[in-house]
Amino acid sequence: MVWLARHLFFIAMLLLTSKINGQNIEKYYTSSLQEKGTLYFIFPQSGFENNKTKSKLIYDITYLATTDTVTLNFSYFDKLERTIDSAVFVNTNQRFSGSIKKLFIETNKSKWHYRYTSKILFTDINSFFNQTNNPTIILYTQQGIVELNIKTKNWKRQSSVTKKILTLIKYNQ
Amino acid sequence: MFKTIKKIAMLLSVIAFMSSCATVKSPLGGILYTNVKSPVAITGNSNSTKVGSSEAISVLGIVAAGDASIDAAAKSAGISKIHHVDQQSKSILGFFAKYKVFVYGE
Repeated sequence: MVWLARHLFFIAMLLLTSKINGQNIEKYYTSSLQEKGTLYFIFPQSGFENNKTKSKLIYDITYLATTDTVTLNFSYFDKLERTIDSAVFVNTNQRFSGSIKKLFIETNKSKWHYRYTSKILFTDINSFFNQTNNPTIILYTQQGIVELNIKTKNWKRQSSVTKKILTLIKYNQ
Repeated sequence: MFKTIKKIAMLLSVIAFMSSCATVKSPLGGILYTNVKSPVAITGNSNSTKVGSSEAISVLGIVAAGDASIDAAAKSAGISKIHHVDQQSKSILGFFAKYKVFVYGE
C-alpha cells in the first residue's frame, strides 16, 4: 500500500511540477478565427479577494485582434447587496478604469453574484499585466469602497501567463 | 521481476478502477489523462465578438457540481446571438474531471 501511495504522490508531484514550470499557456486561453479577425478568450482567473469580508472577484478577458479595446467581464461575489458604479485597476505606476455595464445579478448560495462587463484599452491591460507588484482592484459602490487584493504567488503565475498570451496576440497582429 | 510485474499490474488495475470514477463527456477519452476540445453546435449567425464559458466538475465520481449549460455560458458574456459552441473535456486519473462549454456570438 505504501508503494501505491508513493507512486500516486510521484504522479501528483509530476503533474504539479509541469503545471508550475512548464507554463503551458494553451490551457489558459482559446482563439477563434472570425470575419473581423482572431477572437481571443482568456479563461476566467480568480484570486482577487477582500481581506476583511472575503468577497471575491473572478474575471475573464475577450479580445478581437482588430480592435484596440479588450472586454473584461467580471463576477463579484458578496454577502451584501450593492450597486456597483465603477471598477478601478491600480498598479504601481498605473491607475485606470473602464466604463462598466451590468450583465446580471443573481444569488449564489448565501452570496450575491454581480456580473459586469467593461471595455479597457489593450495597451492599458498589457501594461497592467507587465508589472510585477501586486495590483488592487477597487470597486466603487453606493454602499462603500471595496478593495480587492491578490496574493503574490497567485499574481506571479497569473501575470506571467496573461503576459505571455498578450505577447502572442501582439505577434499575431 | 515477478514483484515488479505484480506492482505494475496492481497499479494499472487501480488506475482502471479509478478511471471509472470521475468520467466526463468526450468524443475521445484516455484512462490516465483526457484533454479534448470538440464542437457542440453551429448556427447560421455570421459573426462573433464575445465569448462566454461555463463549467461543471466531478471529484472521484462522488461529487459533481456546476452549470455547464449553453445558457449559462452565453449569459456570462451577454451573448444574445450564438455563432457556435465548443466543449472541452478534461480528466486526470479518474480522480478529477472538468467539462467546459464555450459559446461564441454577439
